Amino acid sequence: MLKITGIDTYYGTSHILHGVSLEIGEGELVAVLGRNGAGKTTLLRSITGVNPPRNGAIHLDGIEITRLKSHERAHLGIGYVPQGRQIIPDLTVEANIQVALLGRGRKSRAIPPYVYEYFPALKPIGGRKAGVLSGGQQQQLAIARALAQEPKLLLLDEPTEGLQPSVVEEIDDIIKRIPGERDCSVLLVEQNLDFVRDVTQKFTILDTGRIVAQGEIGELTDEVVKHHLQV
Amino acid sequence: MTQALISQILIGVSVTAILVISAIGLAVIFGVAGVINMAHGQFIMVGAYTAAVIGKMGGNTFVAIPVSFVVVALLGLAVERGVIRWIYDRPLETLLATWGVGIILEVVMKLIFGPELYYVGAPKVLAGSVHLVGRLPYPYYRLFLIVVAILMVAATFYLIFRTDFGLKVRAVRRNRAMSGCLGIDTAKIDMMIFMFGSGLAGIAGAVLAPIKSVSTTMGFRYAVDSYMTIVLGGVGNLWGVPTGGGLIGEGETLLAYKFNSVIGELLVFIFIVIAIRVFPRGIFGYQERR
Repeated sequence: MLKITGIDTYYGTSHILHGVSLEIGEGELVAVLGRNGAGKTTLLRSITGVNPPRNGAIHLDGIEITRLKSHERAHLGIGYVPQGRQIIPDLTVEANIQVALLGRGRKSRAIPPYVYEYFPALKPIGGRKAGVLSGGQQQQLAIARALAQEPKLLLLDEPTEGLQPSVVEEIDDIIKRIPGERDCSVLLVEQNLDFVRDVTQKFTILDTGRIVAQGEIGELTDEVVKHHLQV
Repeated sequence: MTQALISQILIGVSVTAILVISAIGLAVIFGVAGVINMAHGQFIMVGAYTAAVIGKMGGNTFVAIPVSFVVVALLGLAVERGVIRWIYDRPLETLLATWGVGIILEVVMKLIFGPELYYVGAPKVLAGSVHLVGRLPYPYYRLFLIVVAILMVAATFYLIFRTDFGLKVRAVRRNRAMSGCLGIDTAKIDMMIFMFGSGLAGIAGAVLAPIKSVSTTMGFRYAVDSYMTIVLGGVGNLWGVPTGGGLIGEGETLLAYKFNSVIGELLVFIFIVIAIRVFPRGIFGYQERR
């Protein structure tokens, strides 16, 4: 459903991604791994259009999206949970989700029930400013907002980074359920190898902007990890 | 003494109203699209000339308000599409470009209408004045300006805080890139806000035309007052406009009463300089987070 072919992405004048190619199938969960600064976040930003690639091509369901604006990609079904959550702090929890509904072209601001089924903890605090929430609640909100986009492809950038273990467990459980229940593929940037081995079907390892290993998750051996991921 | 003071405060309210009327369009554009429209004063001027033309055709201020709104909103649309949208991310160049637009507008209006002054009368129902306190007459038109200022602020608050469009605007204002990723066409939001803010400048021109003569250079003074108002009040919060306007309007009026208008204006300028030192982002400004 997503096909990335040899993209080069720059940040200003610095060349970050070098000829990165990647494919994600329908309903697949794919992990992107790599050390700090390897280009994982830049890869996601290339897909969302925040940092569009200079060369190469990105296709979503056969439609070329390489040059589209971020909002046009969102309309085609790309949902995004960025690093640092990027919720809107002075909007309420509900309003944050409603922004995604309006962005998807919904005429009603009514929040679909399934959003709260995944994150029941958000319902009672719907009227509170998102900026005052704890880190765990903000992350839940960021994922809830992305689900309200009704994505065909969900991009998750280290969704459990810096959260306490009980919240990590809850979010990991939801990520596991998303492809089957929401009819959606997931591209996951993640550090936790156990979780990656547990839930994903394929992996890609980036190192200084280049793909150094790629394959079925069974091929993510300790040897590969040691070679490409350990510092 | 108290009577005189109260009447001065009331005059200050109408000065505040004029500041709010002239500044709110600028504040909306600056606050959302991040563009300081240096042609704001000229947008007000075009609104005032529109009112003058309406007046020649027999219409009054009530007719001029919606017409000026539409005319200047369309002018804003043309400027945004033709100039600003290419340089949103370069603040210095938007300053220069809009400054240039302002000069062009002055020249074009002078070519069309000539160098002579135009006078726009107040509507008949708003002629005359009322004695609110003591013997000092308070013109009905000043009361009307206060009502207009309140309505313009209320309409802006309604648009930003009670509509779907406003929710998108608030999201874009705080996090442009993420709002785009959520499916919001941020360029369209900028365009619509530029039109709306320009339209408000048009209304300002229409209602301010009767209090002074209409000339091609009239915009400058309103522009300076507008910049001071939003700089003092801060652009992160719409309350900044009435707050900044109130402090300047009442300050100038009361100090002019105590000393004289030149000293009053000077003291207010000094106050603004100190206030900006203490509140670099204005009284209601917020800390930008990236």
